[in-house]
Amino acid sequence: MRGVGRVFLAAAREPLWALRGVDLDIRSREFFAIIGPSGCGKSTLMDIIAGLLAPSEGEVIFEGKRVSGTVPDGIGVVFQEDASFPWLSVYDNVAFGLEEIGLERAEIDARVRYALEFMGLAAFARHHPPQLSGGMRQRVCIARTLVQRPRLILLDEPFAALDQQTRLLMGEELLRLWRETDATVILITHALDEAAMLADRVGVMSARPGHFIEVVATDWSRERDSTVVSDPRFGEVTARLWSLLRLESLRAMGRDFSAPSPP
Amino acid sequence: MAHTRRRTRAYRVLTVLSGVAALEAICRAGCVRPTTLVAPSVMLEAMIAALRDPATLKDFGLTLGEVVIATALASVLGILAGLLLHAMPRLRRAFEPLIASYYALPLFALYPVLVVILGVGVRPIIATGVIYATMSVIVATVAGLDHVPHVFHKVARVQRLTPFKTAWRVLIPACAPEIFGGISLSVGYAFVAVIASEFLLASHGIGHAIVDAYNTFQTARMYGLVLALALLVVLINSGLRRFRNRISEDGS
Repeated sequence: MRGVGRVFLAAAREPLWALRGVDLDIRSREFFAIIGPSGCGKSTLMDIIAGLLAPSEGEVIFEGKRVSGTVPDGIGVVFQEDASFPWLSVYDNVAFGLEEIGLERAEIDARVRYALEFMGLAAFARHHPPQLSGGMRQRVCIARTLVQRPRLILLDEPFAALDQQTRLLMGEELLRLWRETDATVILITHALDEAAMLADRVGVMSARPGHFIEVVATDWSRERDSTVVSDPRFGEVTARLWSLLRLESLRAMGRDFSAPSPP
Repeated sequence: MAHTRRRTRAYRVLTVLSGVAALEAICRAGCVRPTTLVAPSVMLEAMIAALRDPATLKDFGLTLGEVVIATALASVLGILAGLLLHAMPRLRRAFEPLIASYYALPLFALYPVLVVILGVGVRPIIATGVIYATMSVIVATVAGLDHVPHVFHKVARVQRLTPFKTAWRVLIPACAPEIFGGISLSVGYAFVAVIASEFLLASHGIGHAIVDAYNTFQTARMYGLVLALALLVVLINSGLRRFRNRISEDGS
């Protein structure tokens, strides 16, 4: 990303810059997390990287090609909201995009069965999403992305609606997915511990207009799991992230962070 | 919950039976002239007699066929128009006054025009049915599309679906319960338009049979046919409601 900015224009209002001056290089096969205060433009940035939204300035390059307004081949996105289709079975949800790319039935079946097995959904293939828990529905969405074998997986707060235990377990599954698929992962999250546990590097965004104020490396091994939370380094990383994020969150709330706290 | 439902159903049946019994008593007591109104038992007898007549069954078949064709055409046109209006907010704003006042317009006044354009026979009848039935599908489709989660549009774009495939594979299934609600309503509107058209100029159909019975003072047959028609509409609506509940449960 080079100098990426996005402005929203509304009639009779000042132009609103959600992002400005976003510069970032993501390495191939990297797990990169993005955190930032509410309203800093994280989801807007995700939409721009995915090609769902065109930047107002700057450019996003994916595999040497400029991304602008259309989703390039090789990018898969998992959204924060439940995006499973309630009228389709779990199997058909996962197979949804494969029919569009003209794969043969046997290949589709093999990929879907693998993804269902991988995400622990094999026993629920004939169920419909309303019959599943929130965590399982999100796994359906991840499986739908996984079967397309994307080289870049974008996750926009995919576990936001889940409880803490499920989030930890889903985080482990996400790490397993990342290791086994060799894909590059960009995760947007508001949970510092999630970012510190999962990512190789964590980009901290400023208050609006959002840009990266620092990128913190975690230095975890590729074979990590949720037990890294007991590593002393985990506390250091989380503390560093919070020290950066606290000031930006106060700024986002319109508070003067330099003023002394009230007694 | 089930107990309350059973009780409501019992009250409903009791209310209808009470009304029928009161009407039977009034007619049997001679309070109303038999040329004006016949007793429900007489209506039932006349209905059974009419349904044994192959010519009447043919009339029912013709009317039902016209309603089915009108509803099918209205559904296709309504869904397409709904998709178009939803995709083009300016067009939607321009059409909003027409949509809001559509059923207040004297649409039936168009019937002679349709006869001039389409000739006599089933075509102007079906066209009237389509004119009446389409708007409920348009309104339901637009309302349904308004409630499709934004994330479904994003998923369609991530899957690189064409606009046609987005509509066919995502948007229409996502608002199928709402669209089906509009189609259920359109069946009622199509029935009204088709029967009324048959009253006026047709030489076939159940509407024509009812008017014929009225003109030839066959009061019992007229009520028998009206009863048969009412039962048919209730039966169809009940089936449609059950089907709608099923797809709503699947899609919830």
